[in-house]
Amino acid sequence: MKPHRGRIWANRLALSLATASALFGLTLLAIILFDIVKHGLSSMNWALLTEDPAGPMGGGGLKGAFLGQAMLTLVATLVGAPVGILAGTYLAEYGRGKKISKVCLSLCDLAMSLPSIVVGIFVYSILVKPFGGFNGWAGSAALAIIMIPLVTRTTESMLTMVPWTLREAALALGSPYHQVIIKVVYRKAASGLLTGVLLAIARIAGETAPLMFTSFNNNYFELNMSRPVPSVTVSVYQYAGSPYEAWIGQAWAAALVVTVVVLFLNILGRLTVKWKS
Amino acid sequence: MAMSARVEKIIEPEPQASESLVETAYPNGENESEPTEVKVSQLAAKESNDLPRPGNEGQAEEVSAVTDPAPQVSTTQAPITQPQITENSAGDLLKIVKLSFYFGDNQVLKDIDMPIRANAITSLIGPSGCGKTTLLRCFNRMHDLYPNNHYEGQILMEGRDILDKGEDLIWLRSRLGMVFQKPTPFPMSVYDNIAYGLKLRKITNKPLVRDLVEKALRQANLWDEVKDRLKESALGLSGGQQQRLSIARSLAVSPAVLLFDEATSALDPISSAKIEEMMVELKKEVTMIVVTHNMQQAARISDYTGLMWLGSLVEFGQTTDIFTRPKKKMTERYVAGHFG
Ligand SMILES: Nc1ncnc2c1ncn2[C@@H]1O[C@H](COP(=O)(O)OP(=O)(O)OP(=O)(O)O)[C@@H](O)[C@H]1O
Ligand SMILES: [Mg+2]
Repeated sequence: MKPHRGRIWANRLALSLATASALFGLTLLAIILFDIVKHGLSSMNWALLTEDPAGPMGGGGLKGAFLGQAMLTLVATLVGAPVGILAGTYLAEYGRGKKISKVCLSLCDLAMSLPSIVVGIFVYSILVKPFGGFNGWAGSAALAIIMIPLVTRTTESMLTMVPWTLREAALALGSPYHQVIIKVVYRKAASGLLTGVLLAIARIAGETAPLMFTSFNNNYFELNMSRPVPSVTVSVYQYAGSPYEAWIGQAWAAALVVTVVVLFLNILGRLTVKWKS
Repeated sequence: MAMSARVEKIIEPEPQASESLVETAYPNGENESEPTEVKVSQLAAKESNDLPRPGNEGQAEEVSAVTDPAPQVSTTQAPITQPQITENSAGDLLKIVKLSFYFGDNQVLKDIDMPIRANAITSLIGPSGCGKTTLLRCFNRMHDLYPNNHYEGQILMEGRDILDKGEDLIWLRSRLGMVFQKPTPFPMSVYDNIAYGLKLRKITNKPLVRDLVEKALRQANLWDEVKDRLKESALGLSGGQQQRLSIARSLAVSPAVLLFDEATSALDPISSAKIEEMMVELKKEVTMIVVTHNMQQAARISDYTGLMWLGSLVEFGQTTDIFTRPKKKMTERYVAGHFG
């Protein structure tokens, strides 16, 4: 009787601790979101998205920064997603069970936990300094480097989840392996692959540190990738640290937009998985 | 030789729509892909001229000489289920000759000799782990997908050794289709599942593909159930339907042989019965090799049965003989359910 009772209490204790921690985390998240929404909404206006920056006395917006960030992210995705998917395909298909894939996967995990500022400094040393200045390509490269291990990892695990007999069935029909991968395996894993890419985009869309060392920022509208390209996250960083009311307000509003976009991408990514299965 | 054997059995006229198109669809001509519906009359005429028969008498005798447990399939009387098959051993589509197979150093098949009669069902029975799946996967060289294993001996098909290193595996696998234990629908529509193999063979003429898809689905007794949902995902079909879809997918490319690995063991009795019925009908066009744990199933549908034990073929013969008057004590005990 006694040990039984003990177990019940231990169970209750564990449950309440877990619940308390979960509530604590959720509360913090709610406070942060509430804060961003409160401050962000009060300075939110159309000009933020449609106008060029004005002086610290108010007015103007961050149009260039939004477009610039979108472009940096797009270019990074165009490179990072295919490379990540191909790398994941190698690890899950051609290199399955081989020693080299296990090593690569461990390196991938390592790269995923690398602080993004390290990536920024690395890219600074190879793509900024030798080329004499901050530029958009370097920014996209830094984001792509962050993205590749993420996409590789999700691709690898999504492809590994596709039952092996499905491949054998296609191979038994006489398909060459690469066709089996493209026509059967990718299709089976499509929603998972898409989710991996969406979550990776969500991750890089909010990055600041790697951009500060690479594409830096630009007060002017600039879509030339060989010049410093403005971005929202770096602008938020700079505006929020400024002494001017108007800029701080714009920083909040811009932070709100970034948060909403990232949240949206995350939800979309998760919905994609649900919808397929 | 397979063709001559097959054509004799074609009784019903084939759908006209595809008849004229088929020949152009297989660029290599009938000798390569062997469409099932070359004009019947034409071939029936050819048959009397005697096509070259690679699996000739001399070879067959050689085989039976080394086959200790296997009775002379060639000369004994036909099984009750399929009285029209009364040929001599020239009716063998495949001949396994002294086949051994190794996973690494582990010998899993030992010196197997066995004929596979054309247009018949041959079943492989035996206790778990005796090598049935391994033997079945030798026929379409599935083992080649994985490293560190090797074959010894031969499997002869129309005079060529399909275990030859230089064999074109893509061609081979289109001749010998395989159906797995679990249904393996591809994540695409019912129609595209069947058309998949046709596309692989560069058959893209829309009306022809449509005809071949319908024909394959009819052969697999699935047409009536799916004709209104061809565009829907195959993943929405029931397990039994998915399995028949897998069969139809293999049939679409007109294989000479279908290999079944416990293909009905995951299905309910009604679905299994439908597949068994379909298999018996299919004998007109394909030769089947069936691995099964279900003794009744082996007895019901197969014409020939081989009992395997620890990688060896213990006894091979007509199914009625194996089940009613086996030569070996072990066979008698196995079919009576005393071990395995
Ligand atoms: N990939 C493999 N690597 C090494 N050994 C294997 C492999 N696959 C099968 N074996 C071994 O080969 C032997 C025969 O296996 P096989 O799968 O052919 O048996 P089976 O007769 O089909 O059995 P079951 O009726 O259980 O399906 C077994 O001892 C098994 O352990
Ligand atoms: Mg097996």
